[in-house]
Amino acid sequence: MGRQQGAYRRPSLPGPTPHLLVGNCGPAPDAAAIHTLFSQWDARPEVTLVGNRGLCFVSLSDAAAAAAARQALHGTTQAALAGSGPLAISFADRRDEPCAAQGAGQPAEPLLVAARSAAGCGIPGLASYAGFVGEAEEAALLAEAEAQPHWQPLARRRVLHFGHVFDYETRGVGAPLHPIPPEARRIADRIQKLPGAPAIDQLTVNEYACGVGISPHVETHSAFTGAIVSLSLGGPAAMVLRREGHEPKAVFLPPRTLLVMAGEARYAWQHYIPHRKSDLMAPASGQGEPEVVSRAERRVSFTFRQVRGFPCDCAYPEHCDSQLAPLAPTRAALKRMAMEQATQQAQQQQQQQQQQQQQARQEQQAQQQAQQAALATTAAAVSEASQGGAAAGGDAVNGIPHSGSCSADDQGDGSLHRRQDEHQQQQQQGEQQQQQRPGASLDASLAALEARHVHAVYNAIAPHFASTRFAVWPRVREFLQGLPPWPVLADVGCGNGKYWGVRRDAYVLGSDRSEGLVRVAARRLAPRPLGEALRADVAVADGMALPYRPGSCDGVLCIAVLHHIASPARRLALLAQLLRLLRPGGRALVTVWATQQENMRKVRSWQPLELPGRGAAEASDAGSSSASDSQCEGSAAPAGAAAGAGAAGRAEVEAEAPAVASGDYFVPWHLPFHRAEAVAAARRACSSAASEQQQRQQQPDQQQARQQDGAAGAAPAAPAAPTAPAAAAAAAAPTAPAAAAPQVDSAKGAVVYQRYYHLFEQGELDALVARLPGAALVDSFYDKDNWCVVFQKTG
Amino acid sequence: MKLLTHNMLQCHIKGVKNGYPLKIEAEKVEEREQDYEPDFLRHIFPRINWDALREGAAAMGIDDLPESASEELLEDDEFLKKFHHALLEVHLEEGALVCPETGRKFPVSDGIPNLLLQEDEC
Repeated sequence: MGRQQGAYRRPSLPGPTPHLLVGNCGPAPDAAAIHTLFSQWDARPEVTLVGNRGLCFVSLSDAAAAAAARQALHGTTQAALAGSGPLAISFADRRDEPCAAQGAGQPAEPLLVAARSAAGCGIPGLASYAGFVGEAEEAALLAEAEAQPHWQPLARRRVLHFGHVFDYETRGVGAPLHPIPPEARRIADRIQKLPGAPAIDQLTVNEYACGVGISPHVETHSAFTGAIVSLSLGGPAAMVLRREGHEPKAVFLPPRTLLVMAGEARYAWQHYIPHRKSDLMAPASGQGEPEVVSRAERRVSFTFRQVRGFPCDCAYPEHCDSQLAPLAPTRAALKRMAMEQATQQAQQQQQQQQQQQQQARQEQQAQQQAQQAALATTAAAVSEASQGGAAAGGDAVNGIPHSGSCSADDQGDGSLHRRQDEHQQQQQQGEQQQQQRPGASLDASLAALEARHVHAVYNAIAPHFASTRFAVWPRVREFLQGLPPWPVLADVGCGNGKYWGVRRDAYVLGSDRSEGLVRVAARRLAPRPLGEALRADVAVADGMALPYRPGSCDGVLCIAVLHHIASPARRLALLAQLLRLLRPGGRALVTVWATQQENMRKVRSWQPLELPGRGAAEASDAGSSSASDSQCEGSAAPAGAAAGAGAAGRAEVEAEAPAVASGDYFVPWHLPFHRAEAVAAARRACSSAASEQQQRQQQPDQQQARQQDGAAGAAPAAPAAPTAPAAAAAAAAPTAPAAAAPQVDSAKGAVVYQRYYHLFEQGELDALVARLPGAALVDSFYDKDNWCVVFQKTG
Repeated sequence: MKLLTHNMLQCHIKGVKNGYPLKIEAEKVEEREQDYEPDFLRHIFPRINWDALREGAAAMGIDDLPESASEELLEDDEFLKKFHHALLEVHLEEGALVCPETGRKFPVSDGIPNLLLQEDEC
């Protein structure tokens, strides 16, 4: 249950913290005995042993409990700890949380004096009703709950769900289940008579042992609608409510009190019950010392709610998961991920063996099937042929050629041969066609790489990615402001559509390959109570095949898109698509990541890629005019001087820096665990690891070779490096599955996706534009890690 | 999806010659208010294919647009308001866009057309 010893550090500020470094606890410290010793101050102390040096760390629920424990135990010798001397106890900090006294966002647990009623807190929407149920009703409710067979144990409490199950991992409600039982239903009906009460169809019963509380949370907006109503039974507790920018408040909840959270109190304030064994209650007179009230053996809360069933559209989007607010981590999700990873590792060997066996069996079966199929085909062909023969010769029974009818037999055989000839011919033609287009299969494999490591990734990370993209780059704004009045603007790869509002007079045709991002962008189009609606629309479309009339736009934006395209020919094809949208004189701005980044350490941590057939692609690119013909119309680029210059430029670069010559990388995207979409991502990480394992076995030699490549090229710090080459290998195969495989990085608390990037050398983007017939380079500049070009449609 | 966007869209399947305008199959149409801006309308007018707009509007249940329109009408406030309404305020929420040549359907859901192509179409 303890953490790693490295999880703690010396406190950076004086004063109590919830964590203690305990020295002198004996040559072989006994975790159980230490646990028992400290449980006087916290129901669940967390004990971490540190080697055999007689040291351990103990984490308690709060600094006050730790201070009390230290005061009582420091310098004492405990008989329960064999061989211990006088205990030396000091405070410690945990590395994974901000210093208790320092972190402005997480001030030390305030020992708030709880108001005696909700009215005393002054939070809009918060109300309390003392004595809402009688003692007999309380006993009946508790007995009814106690008798239920489906209690569910959680980390520090146990729960019961009625009406609908609540999934702590996804923070969602599941299918309907056990109806609310009669005693509770009676109370629910009484609650519904209160003004503004919800139509209660869900009940969660929480049982807390003495000293146990619940972490700060807002009842999930998307799961429940209207007010949240909670009835406290058994023992008393103080509930704390907090909201950023507001003074925290506490309300005391004696047994049989009903608390109603509606409006602001429900949607914008977090509520929690601190883990401690006593609370401070305001004096009845309002004056004098607060009263210390000990918590009882247990407290049981009945929380009555109404399942929402549609997205929330409250006025507090910053707290609303329906409106893409980031959510605090769910412990259940983290635990589940850790367990899945462990289980998976344990099963890997077993799977390997099974897969090997299965593979052998499958191969055998496949052989048999192939033989059978061959036999069947031949039989069918013979039968068909003989029927043809029968029609001609009129002498066959049941499809079996009659031995006496020579002419029929001959004809039958003849037609069978013809069929085979035709078939062979078709096959040969097919092969010839493929040989005539050597780029076709390579192109398909690059497209597959983009599908797995660009399209699929952005779909998976869309809301998180979009939430990090809001800054309007000055140079992009400048470009937009340079367009003529009332422009039609295409935003190709629009992401969350952050540039749409820059020109209020424009009509914007936004598009993105990622449906996930398009859905985020579409939120900008929703009607707003305030402000003018944007004149814009968004579509799911591929930049490589844009669905707009040629010449329809005055301006085209293509920000941070081209570097996701996996070959020079394909990049040129994308530029040709942009050009096609422009009217004569119209301008496009294209930005890409540069090899020259302000933080080169970042670049070195990325996984360099060696794409298959790169040499061939470059050669055909420089030499042939039709490399991109299959991609789009109008992109036939005659190989001019510029093309040669571009290739030469690259060659020089390659000579200088062979290690990063290709400019192709996997760049990680960290999806933090606290994001709602991380749970699904982590599940996929676990399930796809198994299938990748299978692929590795199917291609053991290639895999080995690639792993060696990867080891040579990868920076040692890259956490996901060992698996990246495998992913690249899988992506490059045309038969690869369509989804990219993320990795769980527990140390960083994130699910890691690898995105394909091509970093551009100086001049590389200009050279590409130079190969675009009908385009004139207007401007070319470097801006904060990006190469940017503006080009104009000539003619 | 607004009819102005529809006016700019064309079928982009490789080899299609006559991919404009896309036919609208409307299942759900919504009307949402948009600020009336005559200058915008006057500037966008020359870019609009009138027949395609009329056809699209008819599919969305708007049938008060004149058969043909010319620059002179842009001084007529009544005309501009109809033009504004059809162009920007009528939204195709659910339905499909259909290529006139191949019959290929592009679905529109939640107001978002999906114009991705299959591998063999590009």
